[in-house]
Amino acid sequence: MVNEIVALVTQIPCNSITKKQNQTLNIRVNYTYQGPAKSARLGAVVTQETWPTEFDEIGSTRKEVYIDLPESPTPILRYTNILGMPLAGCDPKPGYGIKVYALDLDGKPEWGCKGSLTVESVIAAPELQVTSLTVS
Amino acid sequence: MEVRLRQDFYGTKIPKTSADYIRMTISFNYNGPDQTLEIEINTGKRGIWGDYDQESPAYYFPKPVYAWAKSYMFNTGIPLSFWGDRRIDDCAVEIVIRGEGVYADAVIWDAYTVNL
Repeated sequence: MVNEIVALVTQIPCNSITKKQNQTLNIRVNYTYQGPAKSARLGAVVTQETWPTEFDEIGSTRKEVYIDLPESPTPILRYTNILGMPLAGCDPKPGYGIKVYALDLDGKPEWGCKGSLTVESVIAAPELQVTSLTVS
Repeated sequence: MEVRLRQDFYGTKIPKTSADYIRMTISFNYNGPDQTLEIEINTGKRGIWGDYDQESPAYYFPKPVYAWAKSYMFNTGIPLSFWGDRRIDDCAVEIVIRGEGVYADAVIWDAYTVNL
């Protein structure tokens, strides 16, 4: 029997999302599975573009969850939530991507999106206002 | 692009001569981390287009600010000798406050007359 995830995509709360460094990221991974009953892992990690064609994974954001896949003779659509990806290791900036992948299955399916996550500093931007100016 | 608008204040034309100093008091609110702001002060006059023409050198003063305080007052004075014997009736004072992540710019128009 074929043992594979035939489609794997991720779904974040919207096409682009902004989070603070002290918050965590939750994503929903949609995938289609066909194969025998099996335990596997789904993982997600935040990525950043280092060159136009190169990406780094930010290891501190990685989160993996175990999934129990029931026997599926035909492709079955499933989803799994990956909750609590820490963002403290991300610098405050826009343009982060998200990569999701499956382990313990034939092949190593993965999927990614780029430019979908902005991380903001937990330090509020300082404010300054002149309230009066007098001369004598 | 961020557009910063200068704040305008209006004075009461205090009579001065070029031998005098002009003293100014600046009040401002700051909300942010501890740092030392740089306060730039200069004086000049209103230009023919209504803009501000700087005439004096710029004078710079450090001003520490703190996360636990919000309101500040700063006093200083600058000499008016650069005017020489010119007679100007619409002198103005400009201040610029700069710091990490903050900026403010204010002018007080009609602040003083000189040599009238």
